[in-house]
Amino acid sequence: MSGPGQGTAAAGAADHPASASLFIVERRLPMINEYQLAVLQAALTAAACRFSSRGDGVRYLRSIFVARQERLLSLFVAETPEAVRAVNEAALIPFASIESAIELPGPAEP
Amino acid sequence: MRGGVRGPGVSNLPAELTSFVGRRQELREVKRLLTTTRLLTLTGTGGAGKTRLALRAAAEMSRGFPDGTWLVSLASIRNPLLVTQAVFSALGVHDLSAGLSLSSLTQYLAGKHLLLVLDNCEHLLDACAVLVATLTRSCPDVTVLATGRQALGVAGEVRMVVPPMSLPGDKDEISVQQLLGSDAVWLLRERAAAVVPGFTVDAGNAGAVLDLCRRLDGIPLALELAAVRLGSLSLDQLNQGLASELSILGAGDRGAEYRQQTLEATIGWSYGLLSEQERLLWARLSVFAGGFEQDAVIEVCSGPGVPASRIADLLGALTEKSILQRQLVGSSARYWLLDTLRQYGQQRLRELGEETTTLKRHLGWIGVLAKSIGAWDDRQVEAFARIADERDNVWAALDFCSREPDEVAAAAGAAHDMMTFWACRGPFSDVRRVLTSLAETAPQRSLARAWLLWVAAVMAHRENDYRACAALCDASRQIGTELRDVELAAWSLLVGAIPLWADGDLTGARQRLESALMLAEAMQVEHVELDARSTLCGVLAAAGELDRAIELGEQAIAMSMRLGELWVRGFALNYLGQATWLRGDRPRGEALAREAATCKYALDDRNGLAIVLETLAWMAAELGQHQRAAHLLGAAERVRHETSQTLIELFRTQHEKSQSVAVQGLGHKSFEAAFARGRAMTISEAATFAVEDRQLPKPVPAAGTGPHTGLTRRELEIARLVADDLTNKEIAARLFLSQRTVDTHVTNILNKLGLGSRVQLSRWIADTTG
Repeated sequence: MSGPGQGTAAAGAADHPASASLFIVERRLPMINEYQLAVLQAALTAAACRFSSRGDGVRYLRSIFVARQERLLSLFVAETPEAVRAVNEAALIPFASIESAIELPGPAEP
Repeated sequence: MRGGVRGPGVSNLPAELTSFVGRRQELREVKRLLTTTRLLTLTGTGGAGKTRLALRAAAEMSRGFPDGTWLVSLASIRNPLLVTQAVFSALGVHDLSAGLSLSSLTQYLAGKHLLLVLDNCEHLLDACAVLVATLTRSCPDVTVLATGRQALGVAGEVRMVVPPMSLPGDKDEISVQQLLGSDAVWLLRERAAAVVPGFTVDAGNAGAVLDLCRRLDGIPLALELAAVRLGSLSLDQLNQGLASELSILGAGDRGAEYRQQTLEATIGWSYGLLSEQERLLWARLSVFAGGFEQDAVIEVCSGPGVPASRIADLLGALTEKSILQRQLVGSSARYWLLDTLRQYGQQRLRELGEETTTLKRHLGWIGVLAKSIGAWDDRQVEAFARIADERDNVWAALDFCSREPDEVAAAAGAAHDMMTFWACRGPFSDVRRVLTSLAETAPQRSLARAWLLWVAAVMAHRENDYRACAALCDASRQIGTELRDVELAAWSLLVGAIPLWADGDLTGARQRLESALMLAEAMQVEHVELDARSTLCGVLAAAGELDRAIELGEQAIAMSMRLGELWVRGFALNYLGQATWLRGDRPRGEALAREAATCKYALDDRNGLAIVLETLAWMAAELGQHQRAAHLLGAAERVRHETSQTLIELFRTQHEKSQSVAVQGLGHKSFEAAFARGRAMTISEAATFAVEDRQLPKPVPAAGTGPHTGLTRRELEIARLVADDLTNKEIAARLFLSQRTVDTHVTNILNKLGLGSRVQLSRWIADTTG
C-alpha cells in the first residue's frame, strides 16, 4: 500500500516523480446527462494535456461518476494541490473540493 | 439585449468612439483569414491595437454571421471559472442553467452561426484555450477571433501578429507626402487634430512628427497618449519629454519586449504629466472592473487628495487625455480604463498603499447598490438594470471578499440583498459556487455563513437541485435558531418548504410556510411575510384549499403593491390566478396570470416568465384553445432554451397535462407546427402574445434590412417607436422596460447609426422601411 499522498501504485501514476501525489477532486453534478459528462471529460483532458505538455507536473488519470449520489470523483497525480486546482479551473469545471488521497491497489493482474 | 435574436447585423460590438485609422493591409488579412479558419488569434504587444482591429474586422464581416458578432471582453475577469459566464453575458443570455455552464454554452451555440471576439485572453490563456477547443469541437458554425499577447496554442489555430503601425522608412529625407503615407503619422495627425483644430503635418513640423512616431515605435496607444498632449505642449516639448523618459531603454533590439517597455515608459510619462489629483484618481479608478459611472467614482474614489466636488472635472480631464474611455448612455456617461492603463493604475495604487482601502470602498459601494435591490420597492426595475450593468464590479467585489476573510460579513449582506436579482437573472451555479465557497471562510456559527448558505439554497432551488436546497436551508436554519435570528430562521423555513413541495409533500411544505409566516408576522419581517403568503397560496392551490389560497394570494398582492415591488407579485398573481381559475372564475384567473406575465417581463425575470407562460398554456388548454396552448408551450420552451433552463420539476405535471390536452385537440402534426411557431418567438414577442389577447405577432423584419445597421432587433423595434413619435417614457411603458433601459437603447441606436437626433432617426426609419 502506498503511503499517504504517494499514490505510486496508481495506474498511470507510476511514471511520475516520487514528489507527485494522488489527488481526488469532487464535484456534485445534479441531473447531469451523458452529453454534459462528455463535454466535462473532454475539457478536463484538454486542460490537463496543456499543463503536462509544458511540464507543469500534473496529470489527469480518470473520473468516476456515482450516478445515484450525483457525484463525480476525478483523480489526478500532481506535485501540488495548486496544480490540480489550476487544471480544473482552466477546464472551466467548478468543483467542491480537492483532497490528497491514498490508493489501495487491487491484486496484480495475472 | 434580450437573447435569441437572429438576423444580419445582430451584435453587441461597441460603437467606435474615434475614427479607425489605417491598418488597411492588416484588416484585409484578418478578413481573409476569417474566411478560411474558425479560430484566428491576433497577437501583439499591449497597445498595439489588436482589439480595435478585431472589432473593425468583426463589424465588417457581420453580414456573414446570421446569428451575430459578439464581443466578449475578458479584461476585467480574474477567475477562470467565470469565463463561460462572460460569454453568456456578452450574448445577452441569462445563464439559468443547472450545473455545468460549459455544456450549456455549447448546447446554446450548437446550431448558431456566429462570430465570437474573445478579447484580452492573455491572463486566462488556459481557460480560453479549453473554451475555444470545446466550442470549435461542438459548435461547427461558431468562429472565434481571439486577441492576446500570445497565441492560445489550440489545434487549428491560425495566428496573426499585429505589428506596430507602419512608420516612414529609415531615410533621413522624407517628403510630407511620404510621411502621410504611414499609418503612424496618419493616426498622430488625426488625434492631434482633435485637440488642436487645424493641426496638419507640413514641411515645418515634418521632422518633429517623424521623430515622435519613430520614438514611439508606431505603437497606437503610445501615439494616442502623446497626441492628446499637443493641446498643451509643442511637438518639440513632446519629443524632449519622451526622449528623456525613453532614454533608459537604450538602443536594443526593437522586438516585442522593447515595444512593451516603450509603451510602459510612455504611459509613465503621461502619468507624470498629470496633476496630483488626476494621478490619484487614475490609480483609484483601477479597482473598478468593467467600467463605472460618475456616482460610483464619487463613492469609491473621492476623499483625501481627490475632493468629491472635483470628480466630474477630473473625469473629463482624464478622458481628454485618453486615459479614460467614455460612452454616453442615456443621460449619463459610462467610463472605463483600457486594460493596459488599468494595470498601470493598479501598480500605482499598490505603491500608494491604498489598494485595500480602495477595494473596501468599492465593496461598500456594491453593498449600497445591493441594498437598493434588497429594498423590494418601486425602484426594483431600475435597481435590477443598474446592478446588471455592474455585474463585473459585483464579481470583483466578491472576489475581494474571498481574499479578505474580514469582509465575509459584507459579502453576506450584499448576497442577502441581491437574492431576488440572482433568482431572476442567475447565473445560479456560479453564484451558488462562489457563495458556498465564501461561506467556508466564515466562522462556523456566524450569521454571515448562514446568510451565504441561504442564498446558495435559493440558487440550488432554481437549479432544481432540491436535495442541496434542503441541506443548505437546514444548515442556515440551524445557525439562525442558535443565534436567535428570526428573519434568518423564517427565510430558511420558507425556502426549505420548496423541496417538500417539489416532492409532493404538501402538508410538510404548508407547515413550514405557516411557521415562516407566523415568525415573520410576529417579528414584522415584511419581505418574508410577503413571500410566505405568496408561496402558501401556491401550495394551497395545489392542495385544493382554494379559499385560503385566494385569501393569502390577495393579501400578498396587496402587500406587494404597497411596497411597490414586482418579483413576488408576479408569483403571487400566478398562484392566485391558478386558485381563482380552479374555483371556477376562469376569466379573472386568466387575467391575473396575464398580469403575472407583465410583472415578470418588466423585471426581465425569465425564470418566472417561463413559469407563467406554462400557467397560461394550461389555462388555454383547459379552455379548448389548443392552438394558443401550443404556442405558449413553445414560447415557454424558447424562454427556457434562451436561458439554458430546464423545466422546473415543480411544474412538470401541469406542463405534461397541458401538452397532452393540446395534442389531443390538435393532433400531433398541428401541435408540433403550433409549438414550433411559439418557439420561434423572441422573448418580448412571447410576453406580448401571452399578455395581450391577440394573434401571433408578425415577424419583425430582420435588423439590417437595406444597408448594414448593426442594430439589434430590440433596437430596431425601439427605433420604429421613436419614429412613431413616442417619448422614451411611452416606449418604456409599451415594451415593459424601464425608462433608463430605453434611454440606453436610444443612445446606442444614435451612436450606431451616427445620427444626432430623434428627428434624424425618424427620417432614417422612413428611408429604410419605405
